[in-house]
Amino acid sequence: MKKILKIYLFVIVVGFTACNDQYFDINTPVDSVPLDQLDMKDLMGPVLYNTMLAQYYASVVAGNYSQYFGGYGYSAAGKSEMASTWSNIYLRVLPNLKLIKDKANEKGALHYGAVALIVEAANIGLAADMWDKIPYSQAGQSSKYPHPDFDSQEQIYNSVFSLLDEAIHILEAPDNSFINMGSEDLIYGGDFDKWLRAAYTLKARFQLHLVQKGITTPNDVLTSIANGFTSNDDNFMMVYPENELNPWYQGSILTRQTGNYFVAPNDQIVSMMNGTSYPFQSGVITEDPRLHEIYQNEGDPGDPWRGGMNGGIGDSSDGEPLNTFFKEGGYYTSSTSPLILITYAEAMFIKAEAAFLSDGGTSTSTGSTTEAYNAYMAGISASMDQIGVDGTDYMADTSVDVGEAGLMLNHIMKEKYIANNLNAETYNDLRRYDFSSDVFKDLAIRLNLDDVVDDYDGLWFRRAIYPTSEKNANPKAFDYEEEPTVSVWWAQ
Amino acid sequence: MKKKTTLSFLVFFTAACSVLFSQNITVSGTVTDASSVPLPGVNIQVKGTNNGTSTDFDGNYKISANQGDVLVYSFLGFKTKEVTVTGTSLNVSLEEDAGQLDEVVVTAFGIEKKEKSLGYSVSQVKAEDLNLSGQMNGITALQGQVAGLQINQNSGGAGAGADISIRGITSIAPGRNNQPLIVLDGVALNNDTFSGNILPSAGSNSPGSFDQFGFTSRAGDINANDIESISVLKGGAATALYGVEAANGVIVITTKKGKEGKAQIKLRTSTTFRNVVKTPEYQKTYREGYNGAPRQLYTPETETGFTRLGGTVFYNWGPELSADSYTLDDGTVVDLSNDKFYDPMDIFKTGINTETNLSISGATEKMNYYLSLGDQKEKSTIPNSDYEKINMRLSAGYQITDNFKLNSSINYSKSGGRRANGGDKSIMSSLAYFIWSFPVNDYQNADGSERDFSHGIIDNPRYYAERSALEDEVNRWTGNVNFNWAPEDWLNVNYKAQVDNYSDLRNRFVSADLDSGTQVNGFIVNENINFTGLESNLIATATKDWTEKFTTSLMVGNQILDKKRIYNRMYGQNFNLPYFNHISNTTDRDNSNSINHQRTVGVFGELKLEYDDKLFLSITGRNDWLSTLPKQNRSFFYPSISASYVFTEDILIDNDILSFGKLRASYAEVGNGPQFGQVGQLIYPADGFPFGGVGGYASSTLAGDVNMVPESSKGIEIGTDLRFFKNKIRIDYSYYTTKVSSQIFNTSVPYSTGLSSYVTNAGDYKTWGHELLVSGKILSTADTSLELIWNFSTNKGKVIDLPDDIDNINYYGDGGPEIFARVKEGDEMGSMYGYNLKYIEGQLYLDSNGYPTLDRDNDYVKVGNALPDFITSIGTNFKWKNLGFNFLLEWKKGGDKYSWARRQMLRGGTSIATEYRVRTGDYVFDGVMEDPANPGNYIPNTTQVNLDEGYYRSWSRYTGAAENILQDASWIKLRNVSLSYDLTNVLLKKLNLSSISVSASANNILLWTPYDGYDPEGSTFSAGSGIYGFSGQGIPLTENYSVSLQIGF
Repeated sequence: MKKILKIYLFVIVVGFTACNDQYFDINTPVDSVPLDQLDMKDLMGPVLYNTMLAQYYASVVAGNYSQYFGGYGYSAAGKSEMASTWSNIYLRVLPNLKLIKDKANEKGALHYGAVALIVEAANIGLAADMWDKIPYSQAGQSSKYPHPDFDSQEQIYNSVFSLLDEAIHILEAPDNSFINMGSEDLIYGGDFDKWLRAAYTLKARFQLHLVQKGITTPNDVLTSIANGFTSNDDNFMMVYPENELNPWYQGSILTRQTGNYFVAPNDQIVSMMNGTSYPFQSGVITEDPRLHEIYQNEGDPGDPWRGGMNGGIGDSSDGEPLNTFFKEGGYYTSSTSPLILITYAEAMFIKAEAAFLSDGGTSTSTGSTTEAYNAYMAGISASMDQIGVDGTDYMADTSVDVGEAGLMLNHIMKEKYIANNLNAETYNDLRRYDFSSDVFKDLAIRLNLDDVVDDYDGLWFRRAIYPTSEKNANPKAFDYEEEPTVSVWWAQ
Repeated sequence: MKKKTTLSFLVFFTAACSVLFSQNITVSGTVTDASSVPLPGVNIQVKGTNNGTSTDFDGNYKISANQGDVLVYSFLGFKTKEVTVTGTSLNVSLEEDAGQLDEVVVTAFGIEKKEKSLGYSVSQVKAEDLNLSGQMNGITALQGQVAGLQINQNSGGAGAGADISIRGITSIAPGRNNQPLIVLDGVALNNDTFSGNILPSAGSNSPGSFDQFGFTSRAGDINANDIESISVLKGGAATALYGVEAANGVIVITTKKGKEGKAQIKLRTSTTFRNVVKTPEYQKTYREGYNGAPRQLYTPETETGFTRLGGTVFYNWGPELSADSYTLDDGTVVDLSNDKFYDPMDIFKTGINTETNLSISGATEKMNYYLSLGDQKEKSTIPNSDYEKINMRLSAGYQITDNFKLNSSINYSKSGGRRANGGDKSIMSSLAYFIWSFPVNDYQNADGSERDFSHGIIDNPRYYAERSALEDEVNRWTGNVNFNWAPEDWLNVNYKAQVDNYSDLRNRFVSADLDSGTQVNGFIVNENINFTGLESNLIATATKDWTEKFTTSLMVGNQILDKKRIYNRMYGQNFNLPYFNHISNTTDRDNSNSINHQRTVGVFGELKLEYDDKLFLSITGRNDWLSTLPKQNRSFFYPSISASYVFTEDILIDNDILSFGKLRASYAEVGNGPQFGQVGQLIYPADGFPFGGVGGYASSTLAGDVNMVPESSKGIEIGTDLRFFKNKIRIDYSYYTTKVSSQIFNTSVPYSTGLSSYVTNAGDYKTWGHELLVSGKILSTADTSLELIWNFSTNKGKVIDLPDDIDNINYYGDGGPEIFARVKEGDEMGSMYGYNLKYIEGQLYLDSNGYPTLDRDNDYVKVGNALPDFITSIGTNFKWKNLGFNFLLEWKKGGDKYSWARRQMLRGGTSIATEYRVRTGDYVFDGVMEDPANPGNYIPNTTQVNLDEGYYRSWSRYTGAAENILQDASWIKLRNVSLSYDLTNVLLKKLNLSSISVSASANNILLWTPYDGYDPEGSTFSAGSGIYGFSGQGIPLTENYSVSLQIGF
């Protein structure tokens, strides 16, 4: 009996020693890192990376709407949730930006914190452009707002401008913390001056969106862009390192090599560059020199460059099968190509357009100011430099070198269209001008010859629809949902 | 102790030889029951020796014995009788045991209890009643055998797991395992179905790894031939002693032990053939093409096998198959006279499962041993896919002193194979897109490259199968020791400890020419999973008989569980060589390591009161400490009480009719905690990082409530067990209801909150159901016995309350048709949401184009329910002399399912549902349209339209409508029919064998279902995913034919 008691006591002791807290403190995954061990630099890399990916995912759809490319060169995108852009912005960018901002405040790292504001503006601006109304003022506070309400696009734009203005204000003042960015700055490698110019350039881009609405003026845009990018060194882009695969390369080269779904250029962009929409006059050149750096012509020697008709069945506008594909190792489609948000070339076209409009220019008017014309030519030159080709002959051709008196809006927008190849911003340009073929020469709505059963036949897609992930859990999304063919606020 | 263990192991091997004793005379005779009916199979043992035999079919026996020896006659259901040998002839009549009322069943911790003492329902099934032939996972054989137990074979892939649920979904938490605890000989058997992460870094639309392969549920590692019996503990009271581990019920497996008598050597082999029979139905009227025109011809003599006429090729919207030619727009006439229907289902081969099993067992008074070796191989119905399992088990017990007994067992298994890919971008998804104008098995060009029928859009499914598989190799060791010490006749102390360890090495290879590998230029995933489970159970039981009628017993116990899973993943992409499967062949690599570690400590006790063998009361309590809960809420207690009353002891109803009657009732509380690492919001290395040498971290998009408390479930169960006509007919009925409150689950939160999911205590829901078992021994004579068993069960669940900030709990959604498995407050469990077509006052609404359209004025609406209304089965065990015959018919009524494959076939124009086509522009839908002249009023539709791809492929007109894509997945299946024959004694003697039996059986043959698709029991997701209602992407289920032979030496 004693023995039994002893044994039982032993058991109880074993049982209760086992119950001490330390024994149970094993609920933390080994790969999780405490927040206080992390510095801003540890969080910034993924924020910038995902910012660029959000742009990329948007342009996978917007670039198709803009007829830069189609699936296999011709298949047109239908209505889209742009779900990856949404999840990147709301799940991967904004929550971590908040952590960075908190840490920056804590440490008095003013300039570092300002960069976070610029990145935030770029992301919510993109989201508003794609979806119109989006959650923002109530976003990212799950306990307080489990179903965030949606802000109007106008409210988002106000936030974009105040974020950029604040960032500009901070970056223009000294930062005595001397906390700098390093290699985690995947965009500028830690150059705050470039971030300042990026803030101005982005501000000009967003201001331009509101000019037709009458909320901003072309002069507002010109004021901002005057402090914007000064060279291609300022380009807001992220270059893919060795051993990583640029997603455009994956989706156009790798997939094609392996007989899978790939994207290839549309007739619209190819026609802009091969002399079809704008026949070359000089006889010196037959194509835009950038064409060869971006695409490859797989037709017989001497065949003209042919892109597919968006929504067609694989033929080009001349009725012949398409023969133009993204180039392996091309400017946009090598494994180490950059993902691009905004460039110096775009800055110049923003300036050119604003100057053109401030001079009273319209979609059909001819002639403008020296400022507009110089900016137009500077934009072309910047794009040539960016791609790495000699644009001298091209820029001398009278179809391009139209002179101040001959400058029309469609010239500026054509060059911006070419320079902003693949960029989701072009979708904004198209919507700003209501898909006008006066402004975008030869622009025609996608065909519907193939397999797309389309409830929106003959209508341009003018917005993304809200992602299923949001509709699943936020009933408010249904309150704001519109058909994808309804214009966003600034285009109404 | 070590010495003794060693000794006992030594003894096992010599025991087989130690059965020879000096025997003088041969005693023979017949054993009958009280009414002189001979009893076959009665055990006869010379008391105090290993010498034993059993009666033959005519009740006759012969045994060598000495004068004065005592023979012990024992037989299930009869009282054991001892008779002293006085001569060479000894006829014995056995008395029926008081109505077999002292049947014992195995309950929690392997404790055997008298069934009549239980205040809750326990179903016990003997392995001999199960058809284990060809079953890779022995538990699968329980299908249809137990009311309230549902076992779904989700995938027909070789070695695929089985999804088990007891009393339906016990958790509304998506991703939460609803699988019961499996206990083998008193200790837990890990039954994880771990999917890991086998997705590429880009290029997959898959929601997770769990839909890609039918991974093995690890309980399948045991050798089904080792199983003696299986008990299913269903309700909270039955499982209360197991604590949180048993929140979903418990399946208790008891393995075979050596029995006293001659050493038994058994050899069993079986061969099973499998065929995919139930498949989606194809229309065979229209060939490949689009818009009524062909786009590609099959020209096997050409280099690529096809002649393309233009346009995208993965549609069956072409001209009629009967047409011999077609004139293209440019005037070219295409010869279509060689067209034919090539069945895409020809990709499936006959699968073969072969099994060999050897067991040696025996026992003496002091010790027992059981050794088995098993090998089971399977070739899947999918080419290039197989599975093999090798088992070894040694278990032994040794009575060291009069009051101290040691039991120990050690198991080894090695299993694995090449698994065929299901899910997104897989063999099965490619097959759903495949166009029957081309033969699926002509998959390779002369140079070995893919015969690319769709020009890069869809993989050729056969090529996929041949080129890419996931290989796994699992080595598993389980060892346990059990000491039983009974120092006093009123006290028993039992200690059991186990180590369960397995390593699982997986390799997935996907070349760059396959859809899922293309975006990353090919990828390889190597995974190394190492699981170690430690368990320690100490139980002390004291019993006291206060009076002759009143006895009590008190049990106290302690349990320590420590489960650790280490997961190492090596991922590489971007191949140098196109088909070389080694990580060195990749240029971009990523490694990760995670450890899932959980500890649970429980202290528990049970007080049992028993009065006059008719009134039984049991009170239990358990306190658990869980490592997965926040510190302040880690400890919690829950009680249970159950009672049983055998009323026939008191109320004497005409005993010829009601021979036994019992009422039972129980109340139990059970708690449960969250999964590992779910508390708080943590920060992890970011996806895609390091990126070019830059490291990066990001906060998790999943967060858990830091004040989480254990969820609590409170259940009541009442039931009765009635037996009539001398126990020939039995009716056993249970009703149960359980209310779960503060359920812990992943709530769906909108991404705009910054989170993709939030784990918290939220919501109450309840489940309830009825279970009925009716069995009857229709015939019972010396030669013939016939037993019929009918099981019936229902299970319903309802969400009573959800917090205001949670709109719904979403399990899974397919964004294609927009169909979701989700529940909202007030919903029944298993609800499916989506869109219906729009109706105006019961009439189909047609839009201004004259087509039906989805009713999208509101949020998604409830469109069905994935869970069945009831499940019932009827089975029979028939014996006539040496012949046995069993069948089991199971009926699952209700339960809706969406077939992904069928949707693709609707869009592709291959499904039978698309056969009716009108291209003449004069089809008029029956319904109403808005009067253009009088908006708001509706007039009969007269708009003429086409019924073509424009209609069938349209989401808003056709494939988005739940009425077109969600189907009733009810079925009736002939689960099993088997015939066995035991060879007679005469022949056995000639062969010098103790037994030979042959049997033939068929599984899953005959299936009646309104469902168009593969066998609707299959699922898109692997076992344990907790997602129901989605199918059509998994490897389809098969019907099986087996033959087996068992020889006893």
